[in-house]
Amino acid sequence: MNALRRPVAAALSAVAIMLGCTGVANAQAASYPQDRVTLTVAFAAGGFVDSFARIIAQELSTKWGKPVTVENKAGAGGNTAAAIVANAKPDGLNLLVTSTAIAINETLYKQRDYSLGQLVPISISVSSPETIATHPSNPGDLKDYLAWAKDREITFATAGVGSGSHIAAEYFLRKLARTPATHVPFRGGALSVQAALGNQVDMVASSFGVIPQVTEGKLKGLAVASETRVSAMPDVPTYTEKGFPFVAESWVAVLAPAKTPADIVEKINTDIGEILARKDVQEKLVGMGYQLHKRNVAEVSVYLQDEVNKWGEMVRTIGVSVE
Amino acid sequence: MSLLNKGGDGIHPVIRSPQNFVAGAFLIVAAAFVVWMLSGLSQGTLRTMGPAMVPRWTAVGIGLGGAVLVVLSFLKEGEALERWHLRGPIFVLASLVIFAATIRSVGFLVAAPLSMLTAGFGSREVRPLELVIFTVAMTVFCAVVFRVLLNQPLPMLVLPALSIQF
Amino acid sequence: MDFLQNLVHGVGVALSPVNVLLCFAGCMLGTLIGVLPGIGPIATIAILLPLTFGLDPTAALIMLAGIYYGAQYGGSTASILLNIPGESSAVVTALDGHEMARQGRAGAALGISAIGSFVAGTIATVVIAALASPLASLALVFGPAEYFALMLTGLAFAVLLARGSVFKAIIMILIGILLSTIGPDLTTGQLRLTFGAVWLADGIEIALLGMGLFGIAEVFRSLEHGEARQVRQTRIGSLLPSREELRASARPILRGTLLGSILGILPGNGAVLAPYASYTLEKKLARQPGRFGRGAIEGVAGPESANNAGAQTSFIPLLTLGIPPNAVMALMVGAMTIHGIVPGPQIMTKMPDLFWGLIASMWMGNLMLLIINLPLVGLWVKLLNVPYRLMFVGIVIFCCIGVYSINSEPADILIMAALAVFGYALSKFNFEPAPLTLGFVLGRMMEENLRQALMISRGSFLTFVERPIAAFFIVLAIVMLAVGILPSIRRGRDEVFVD
Repeated sequence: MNALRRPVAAALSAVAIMLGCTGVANAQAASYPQDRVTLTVAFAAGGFVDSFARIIAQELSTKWGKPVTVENKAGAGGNTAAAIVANAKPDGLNLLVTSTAIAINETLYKQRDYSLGQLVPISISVSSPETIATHPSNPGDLKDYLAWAKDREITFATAGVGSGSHIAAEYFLRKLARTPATHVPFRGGALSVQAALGNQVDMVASSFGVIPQVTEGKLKGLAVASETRVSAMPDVPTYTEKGFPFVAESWVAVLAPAKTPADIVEKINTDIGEILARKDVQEKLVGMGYQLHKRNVAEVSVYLQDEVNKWGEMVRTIGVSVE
Repeated sequence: MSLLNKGGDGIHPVIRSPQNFVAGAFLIVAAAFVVWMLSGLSQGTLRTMGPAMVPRWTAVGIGLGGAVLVVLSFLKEGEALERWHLRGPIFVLASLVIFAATIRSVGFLVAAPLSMLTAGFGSREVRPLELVIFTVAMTVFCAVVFRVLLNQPLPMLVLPALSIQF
Repeated sequence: MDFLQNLVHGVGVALSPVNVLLCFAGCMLGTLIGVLPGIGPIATIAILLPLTFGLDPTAALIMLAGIYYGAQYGGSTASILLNIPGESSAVVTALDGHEMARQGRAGAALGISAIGSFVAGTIATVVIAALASPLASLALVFGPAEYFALMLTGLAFAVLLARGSVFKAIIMILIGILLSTIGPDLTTGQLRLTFGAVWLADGIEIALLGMGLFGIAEVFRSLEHGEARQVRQTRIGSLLPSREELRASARPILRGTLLGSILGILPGNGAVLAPYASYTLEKKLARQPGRFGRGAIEGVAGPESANNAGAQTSFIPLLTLGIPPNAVMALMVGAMTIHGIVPGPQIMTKMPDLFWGLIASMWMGNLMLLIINLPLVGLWVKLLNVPYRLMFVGIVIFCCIGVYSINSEPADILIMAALAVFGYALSKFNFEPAPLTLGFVLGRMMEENLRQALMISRGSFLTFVERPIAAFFIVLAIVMLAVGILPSIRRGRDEVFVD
């Protein structure tokens, strides 16, 4: 029995080793991808990060001729998905699509099941500035609004504790404007916008979520935290124009396990860049209030590190933390 | 002589509604456990509630409800404990555990047949041959529907030793 | 009438052969996927979403709407036939629907569900066309205080939902609320009751509750009795509801439609209450409330209509305010985003084709459902001829796949297993799981809205009295509770019938 089994096992493992070797040898950008690529999305289906992932998944799969599937792994503010991809095989077939959360959580969360060093950023190409808006019956100019807010301790709604909108707005109100305010967290950006539409809260902090409301005049935009005004709502001034030099943007990032071959990372970066350079794709994203950025892999890496530092500073200033 | 036994030999049992007694006791224990688990969280005040406020007082409510059931069980005639049939639940639970344990590590093509074959024996009327045929057919059907037609992220076969993963 | 003109325009858009075909295909696929046990509407839409990528936006949305209705109806089918509700509204349908199926009246239950949905869909379509924008702004007066009060009323409904002991129903509601608090606290981000486990860190999915507490627990119960408990084959000739059953259902359908239409408009997911509210209302109005829970057709007709009307009018906050009131609508936002459409107030003015086409296709979708499903009723009922010793194996594997497809998380299957044991124990101790589900669905929303309301009012409880709508609902809740509790106190003891 044993005598028979051993050669078979040996042969099998030889085959396995050969298969494994060819797998490694072929892991070159030219032949990438050889198999189905999975985009693990850090948030539930339906949000912007998910939509972005689905748009590029479809385009990449046409481009590569291999299926690119989207797998939603919401949980722990994006950390669940990050941990999965951080520990996945670094063959370029497992990619993470997440948001500013990946930078914020470095400081916000006391503990995580991964470290940012286990991941390599591939692309950060779309962003939308954090915006504050209020019901049209309230003062619509930032200066007037702050004066009005001084003696009433305003309430402001956001998508939740530790969301980029929460951190940016609280940082602005407390550190820059020195205006006392009560944070009212909602479950998701849409409900926070709803509370402002009904004038239940004095202010809402959100990113692209308020743009349709502001363009329609249902809400008044007070300020956007970007360098220049947003083309979708040109009437809303930047914080800088109003005397508060403050930039905070939410973005979508694509990352891979850290040991993924560099040429594959390059290739994905280039391919996503090409997709986002297409006019029809651009129109969709810009229409939603997103700004597009062309960055190569090195620039993406630097940008992510800057963002980790910047958000970290804000998180520490307002003193918020999550388990 | 059991406390819970509504014996027919003329002895009046102390507990007149065993069902309520056991349910109530369970609720009290469960509620106490929850309150203990919440001990590390702040309750806040009624005006500014902390994270523990709602769960803690809900648990207290459940515990009180359990206490009422226990008291009632001494006062009011009620039903005897129902029999638990264990064969079905044991096989089905085993099949769920098998599926959960193998879906990621070995994949659907192994997980599904294993768990279906296990579950099938939960029925007293199980016919092994029929079950095997059904299992094979269902596995193929589900693989085709979910993986091929619907493109769901359901790992089909994972054999790390042979570098197989699809 | 302006809206009629618009609606005609919309029908013109929706009636293009391509769109009719897509709507049909969407309904069909939605039904076929949605009927798989364990796959709820959200999962169905997410699964089928990629099919719509290649289409132009209007066509894609029409197809998605078709998928949504199909999935909802498919879900009802699964919960009627096999008692596997994949979402909270199907829990209500299963109460009497599955009971009817066990009595050999599966065809009637499925039929009335299709007919009720169609009537509700038709009326709700007109409501949307005529009143979408004024209603949407009205709904904005609902703030956290109002939502809290509304949810409280909803819980009072749940007390009446139970067919047995009111006291036990209250305990069940509390357990539901407690289960809903598992996971991160919205206000502070602190984790509660998670045992430090990662897979509990985001709470329990409602689908797990439905499949565990109802689906698998039902399997446990059925296995006790072997083939004897199997759903009986339908007698020939009774595939569709009889004339009397139709007559009995007419008013429940209309009342359900009214309730569903109103609650669906609320951007804070009021629609979730609709089927529960309708069931309670019908039970209260019935001459023999005792029939409910034992196969009363009104208990299927009302909630199904309410659910479908609510599903339809929940498009109002999405299309007019850009606020998705529930997870399904959030998915619709995602779908629109992929097509470059930003949902919001501008849709109606800037894309009239899309807006009115979508509304007209809602009605068409409901018509398709009727056309597709009345013939399918026979097929579904035939499915019940599969011997139970094999059927339950299928149920188990579908539940596994369904649960796994939500989050790709094997631990979720274990949570479902634990809930199944709990559900089996509940039936052994004469507790009913339905009030627990409502407590679970409303518990989290209630806590969040309560705390938000108090933050906004700076800690003053007077906000619930000063705001008239909130005050109205709180009074209503107290009245409902009294109506629920008093009779059983008067009777002196609870009825404890068990089947």
